[in-house]
Amino acid sequence: MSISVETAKEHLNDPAVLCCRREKGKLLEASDLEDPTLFPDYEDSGLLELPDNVLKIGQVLGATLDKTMDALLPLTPDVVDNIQDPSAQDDEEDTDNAPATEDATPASPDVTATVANGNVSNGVVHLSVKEGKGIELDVPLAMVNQGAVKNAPSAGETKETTSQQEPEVDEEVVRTLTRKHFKIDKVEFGDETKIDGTTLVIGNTDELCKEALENHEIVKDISVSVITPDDYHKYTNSIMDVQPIATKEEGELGEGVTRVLDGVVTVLTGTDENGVQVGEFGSSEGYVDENVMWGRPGAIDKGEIMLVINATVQAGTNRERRGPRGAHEAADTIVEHIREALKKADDSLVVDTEKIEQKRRFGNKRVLLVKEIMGQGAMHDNLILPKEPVGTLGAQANVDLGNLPIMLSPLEVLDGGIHALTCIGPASKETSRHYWREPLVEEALKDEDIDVVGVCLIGSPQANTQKSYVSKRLGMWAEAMGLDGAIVTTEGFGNNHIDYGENIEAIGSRGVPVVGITYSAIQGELVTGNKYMDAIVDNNKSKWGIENEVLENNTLCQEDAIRALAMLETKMAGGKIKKPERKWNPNVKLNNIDLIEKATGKKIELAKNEQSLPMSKKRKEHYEKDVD
Amino acid sequence: MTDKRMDYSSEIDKLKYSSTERVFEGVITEVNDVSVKIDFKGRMGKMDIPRRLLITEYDPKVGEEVGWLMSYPEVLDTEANQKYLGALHEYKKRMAKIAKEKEKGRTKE
Repeated sequence: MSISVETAKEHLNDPAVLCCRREKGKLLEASDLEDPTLFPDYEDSGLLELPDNVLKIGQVLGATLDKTMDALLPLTPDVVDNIQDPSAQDDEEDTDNAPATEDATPASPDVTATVANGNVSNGVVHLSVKEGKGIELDVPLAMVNQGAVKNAPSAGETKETTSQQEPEVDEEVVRTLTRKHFKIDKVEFGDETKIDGTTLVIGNTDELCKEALENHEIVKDISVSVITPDDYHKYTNSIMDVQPIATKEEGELGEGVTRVLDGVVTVLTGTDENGVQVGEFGSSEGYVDENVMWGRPGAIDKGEIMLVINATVQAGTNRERRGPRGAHEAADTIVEHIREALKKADDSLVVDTEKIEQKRRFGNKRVLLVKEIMGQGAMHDNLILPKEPVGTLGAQANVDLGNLPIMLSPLEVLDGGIHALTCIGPASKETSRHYWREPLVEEALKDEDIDVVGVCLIGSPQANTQKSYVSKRLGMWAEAMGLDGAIVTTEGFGNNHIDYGENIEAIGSRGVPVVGITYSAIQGELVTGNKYMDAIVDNNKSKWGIENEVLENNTLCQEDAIRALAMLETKMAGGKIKKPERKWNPNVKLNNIDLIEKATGKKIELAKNEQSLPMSKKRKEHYEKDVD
Repeated sequence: MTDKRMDYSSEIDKLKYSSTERVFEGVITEVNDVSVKIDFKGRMGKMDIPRRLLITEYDPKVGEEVGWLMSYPEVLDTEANQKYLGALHEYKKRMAKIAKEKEKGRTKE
């Protein structure tokens, strides 16, 4: 298919191939050329073979075809007369960022910063601009270090960036959240629920469970048990959620003071009356030490005590919205008692006080974080903004809110503002705990080069018509906010990738650079695409790129957040992100990590994957002994 | 970082018949909050898939036809995977236990 003049301009350095049969003597123009984005497909099916000496599009536009040629044949020097100089064709391809000195022309972001190579002298960095005809810039080191640290490339290995005008930043702390940590190293059952030194006592479990069941008819049975770190090789049912135990001491959720227990987490598990696991399909039931990816933001940390609350829901309702919802709410009734006790605990027991500030950095690039959450078929729900951290009371389900974009402050997210019911595949589901320590939100808050405007939650409905409705609203938000950049993430994969693409387009089409984060690799290959999806970070950690049942294995971690922010800042500065390879290649990520580490001088800890878990091959003996 | 570089081969390389994918059609026989059940046309099987794996313009309805590409499933290894086998046995054991208890409860009444 022939291309337009604009497309030709965007692909001046790509190979020139005739789209159709042309006669000798034809003055070559865009409409004679084949779309370069289709070349990989043609090459795969053997329709096209590009020789080493194939000319670039920039070289043939305005040149003359010296020989009658058929469609899909590459243009080489022997068949083209009057080969052009491609730099003459090149207008401003990219958004420009005027370099630091005033003498420079506004053109050409094609600047190669040499800071990474240490070409520094007399406290300035010498930059040479390739285009714009011999302009040389001397930029004060301080300014370029700001820009250079963020010029770390992306989906590929580009090293292009622009030095940026240092903005006048007006920093303002808009709200603060103080987290008081209480250490727990033992969980016991007793008469009264209380925090006794470093022991959490759960009082009168029978009464607690009875109360939970009374208020939630759909839950037929509920029980509380403890799994300690020395005995992780214990069986649990399908893990529905992992939750920190926290309560408000002062103020509303998202500000003020919150108390949290360290060393223990609530783990909600469940089945229906017939023993069928609650979960979509294949879930993370089994031995804890084989099925949990320790240390992920949304998982249990090794060394933590698990307070397991197991709910049994009415037969068959594990496939209905009300089943899991009932289980979560019933469990919350029990946790509420612990919250009450935590509120009463003495201040002297606080082991650590953490202050989390939400800063607006007015003057910096305005960046919105968008978290696309599941909103299909109502078993996938997130309860937004309960009264207590990770509670259920007072919260609204995103499905009930029409899946429309909801704005939260970063602190509301980190303070347990999301109670996740998401029953998608365990490897990519984001549990409640994930939001409590959301790596993207945490990294973005620390980033001094951007102004995080907020965190927008947007649901993913089932039907395409509804998806469009919702994405368009996100686009309008983006427009009204006047953004300079956005990061769009989604949990899981499937048809939510359709509106994931639409969400990126809704924002991107307003001229706002967007970076995406999602699980993709082999199993979650994106189903649709658009031109705004040119910078994506893959959450995959599993060795073979396949979704598995290891809890939280493929969720967003710090290393993904770091890459996404580096990519976004490269895009916002006018830098280029290299095209991805045709198929998933795990080395792309490793290359990016290398580049970022070199540019920032900071080591990035890579998260482990399921290969680090014990794989018991002898379970057959263990089980088959007493079958039947 | 070379020690971290993987000499990887994609899962798709494990498949010897990957290009046997062809169009299948089916009919939705049940829609619930979690999944959609589909009967293959030609009585060639049935499947129960999570809703997020179904592409649809409007909310799915029983009786609607669906189409998709599928290759013939290939057995990947001559050895059964012990981990899954173990989990399956364990599961069946539990289900059997629960069924027995239910039965006991019923006969008591």
